[in-house]
Amino acid sequence: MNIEQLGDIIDRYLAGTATDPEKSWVEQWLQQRPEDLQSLAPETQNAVHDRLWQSFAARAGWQSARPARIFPVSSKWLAYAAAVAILIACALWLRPATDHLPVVQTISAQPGSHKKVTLPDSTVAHLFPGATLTIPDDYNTKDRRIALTGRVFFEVKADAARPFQVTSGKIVTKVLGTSFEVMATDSLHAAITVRTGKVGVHFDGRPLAELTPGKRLRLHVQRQDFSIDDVNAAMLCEWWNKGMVFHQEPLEEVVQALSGWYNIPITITNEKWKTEPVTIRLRNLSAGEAVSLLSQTLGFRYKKDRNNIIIY
Amino acid sequence: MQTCALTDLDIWQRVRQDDGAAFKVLFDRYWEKLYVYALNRLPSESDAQDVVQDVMISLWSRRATVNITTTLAAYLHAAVQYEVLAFLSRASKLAGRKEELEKTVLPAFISFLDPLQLKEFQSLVEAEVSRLPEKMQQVYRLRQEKDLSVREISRLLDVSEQTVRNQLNASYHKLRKHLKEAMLTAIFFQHF
Repeated sequence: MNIEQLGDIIDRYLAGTATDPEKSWVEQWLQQRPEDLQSLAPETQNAVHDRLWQSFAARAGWQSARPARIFPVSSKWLAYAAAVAILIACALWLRPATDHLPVVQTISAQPGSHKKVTLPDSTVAHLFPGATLTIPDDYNTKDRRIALTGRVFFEVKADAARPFQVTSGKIVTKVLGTSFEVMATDSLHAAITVRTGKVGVHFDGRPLAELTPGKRLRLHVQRQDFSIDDVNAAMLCEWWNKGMVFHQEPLEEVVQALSGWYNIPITITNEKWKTEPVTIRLRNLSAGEAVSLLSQTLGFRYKKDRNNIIIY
Repeated sequence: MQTCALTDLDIWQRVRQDDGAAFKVLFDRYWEKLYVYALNRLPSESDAQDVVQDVMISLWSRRATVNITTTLAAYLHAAVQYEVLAFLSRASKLAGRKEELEKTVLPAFISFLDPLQLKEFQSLVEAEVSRLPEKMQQVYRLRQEKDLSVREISRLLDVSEQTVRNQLNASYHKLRKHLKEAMLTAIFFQHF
């Protein structure tokens, strides 16, 4: 027996297709053990806690661990532009070890590398590093529904009989055959850019806007509104071979994209830089070169600290 | 922020309203339990930390849609179990990690196999193996029971390596047909 065979058994377990003996074996291993109730030694406890919290805050896109703004529940409907992919995990967590889970495929691009995938209907999706697509098993039967987190550009195969729609949290983008990009990397911003054709954007079940080529819709949860502007969609949407292009984006969002692209934590400690608008194209650069170029353009200073880059 | 008096339910309500401070309270309350659980199963600090990260990131990013029907503690416990398995599933396919995981995770996993069940398996497998054609059986036993490599078997029996591979594949195929998936597990364990 080797680890790959164990991996296969685990995969079957997660997919709900493990045999009974396999299932009980995995579950025995998962079972609570007495040593699970022990605490860490005080000195390791603090160190691990701090490391975990800092990297959580960085990955969650929190600029610092300061409290986020609280929106009252009944506030405007935009307070919940949360981008969420319903992972298969969800089904598994809520009903661990049932045999007939809906079959869902998830495709992710790891931080630091992008991914191009062709869906069953020959629609092509380009996943920016860190993005995840969730494809239900009945995709392309009656319709083509897909969920995402992160930033993905789609070249949708025209098929009037099967509407294509992308869900990210409460934002639903519907099309018949077109190419467009959805970006919903965190709960505070989302952007939809249309390159060809026409798309309808819905929020929380209500139609929000219809977008034509060259239009970009941006949601701003903090300001509780959205705006539509004109962009060079061909440049903006082809980051995998034309480099990353930013058009009047706040530096905070640019840095978030770079963090994902290069898989390096980059933080901005000086508040005033976060909202600084950036228009730039970054192509074939190392992470250091990209930050250096940004620094020359905007005038901020930065330092490298172990594996982090800190802008101040 | 006064936190000690908040119940899990209060915290979760606030997290659902995008309250970052409330999430920090949740994080502080549960990270250690999750970490210890993961560390006891993946004896590597950095792997255990990755697992806890994944649980927390997933919970935070899906806060608006996650529907917790049990308690927060039970939900997180199920989540960390899932993430530990998902981590192993990924790591078991990475060339750079295999060797180390075979030394750490695999033996522990095997120790959780019920010995009686294993015995039962093995006698079933043995019955099927003894029904294989003679040549095929010989190759199968050298590979599975004596743990010889394909090359060693080919030298020993003076046949080509491809022949050995063909024989092995055919034997697995036959066994699979007769034993069904359940028993494959047992085949892997024959030399333990």
